[in-house]
Amino acid sequence: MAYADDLLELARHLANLEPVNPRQACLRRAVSTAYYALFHLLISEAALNWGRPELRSELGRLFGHGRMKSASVEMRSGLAARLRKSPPSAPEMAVLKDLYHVTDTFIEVQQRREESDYDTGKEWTQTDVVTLIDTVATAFQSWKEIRQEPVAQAYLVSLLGKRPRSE
Amino acid sequence: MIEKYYGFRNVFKYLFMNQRDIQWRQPPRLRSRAPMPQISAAPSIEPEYKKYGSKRRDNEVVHMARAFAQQAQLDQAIAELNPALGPDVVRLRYTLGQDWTGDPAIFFRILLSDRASRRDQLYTVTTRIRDAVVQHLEPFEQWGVLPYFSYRSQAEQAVLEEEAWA
Repeated sequence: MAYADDLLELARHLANLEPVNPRQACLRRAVSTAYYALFHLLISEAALNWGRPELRSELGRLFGHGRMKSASVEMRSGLAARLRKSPPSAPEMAVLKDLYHVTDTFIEVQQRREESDYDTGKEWTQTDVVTLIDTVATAFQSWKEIRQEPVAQAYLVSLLGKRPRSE
Repeated sequence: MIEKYYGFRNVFKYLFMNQRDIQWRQPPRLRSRAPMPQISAAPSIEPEYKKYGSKRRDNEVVHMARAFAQQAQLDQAIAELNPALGPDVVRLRYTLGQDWTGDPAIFFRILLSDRASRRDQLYTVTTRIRDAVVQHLEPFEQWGVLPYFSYRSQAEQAVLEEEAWA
C-alpha cells in the first residue's frame, strides 16, 4: 500500500503548495493524484490475493477505470439497500458503512479526476480540492478497517468487471 | 417449414416498407424471436426508468432517468432539502447531465459559508451535507441519476464570480 499512501500524501502536498491563490495546475494535479491514490490502493489490495508476487503488477494492469466504476456503482447500490433494511444495531453495519464510503468515494473522485484532467474550462478551488482529498483519506481509513472482510474482498474481485465467457 | 415461410415473408415485408413504417411497425414475428434489448442503469431502478422509456428507430427501448423527465418535481424535491442542509449552505445549484461514462448524473454545486469552509470543519460539514442530500433525495434510487458534489466557499466565489454558482 506504500505507493497509494505516497500518492495521497503527494495530493495533499499539491493542494497546499500555494495557500494563497493556488494555480489551477496544482489543484488539478492534486485531484488527479488523489484519484490515483485510491485507484492503486484498491488494485494493490486485489493483487495481493494473487499467490505469485512477480505477476501482481501484470494482474493490476487488467483493471480498467470504467469497469471499476460500474462495479462500484453496483456495489454501492446494493449496500445502500442493505443499510436501509438493516437495523442500526446490526453487527455488520459498521463494515457495510465503511465499504459504502469506499465505493462512494471511488465513484466521486473518478469523475472529478476526469474533469481535472480534461475539462480545462472548469475553475477549481482549494475548498473543493481539500474536501475531495479528505474524503479519499477517510476512504483509506475505512478500507483499512474492512480489508479482510468477505464483502470487501468480493468488492475487489468485482472490480475486474463482468464479461461474457466468450470474450 | 411454416416457421421458415412466415419468417421469410416478414423479412421481405420489412425490406420494402418505407422509412416511416420501419420506425413504428417492426414485423411482429421478428420481434418475438429476438428478445428486445433494453438499456438501463441498475436493476434496482429499472422500474422507474421504464415509466419514461421511448422507442428508437430500431425498436430498442431507451430509458430516460426520472430526473430528466420530471424536472419540476426534482426542483421541488431539492427545494425541500433546504431545512436539512442547515445554515452552512449558502446556496445549492445543480445541473443534470452525463458523467464521464455517459451515465445520467446530477452535479451539485454547493456554496458554503466562510465559517463552514474553515479547514478544521470542512470535512465534517461537507459529509453532513452530502449525507443529507443523498438520504433525503435518493438521487440514484428515486431519480435515476448518479450524484456528484462540488463545494466552494463564499470568499472563493466572490473572487471567481461564476454565474453557475450565483
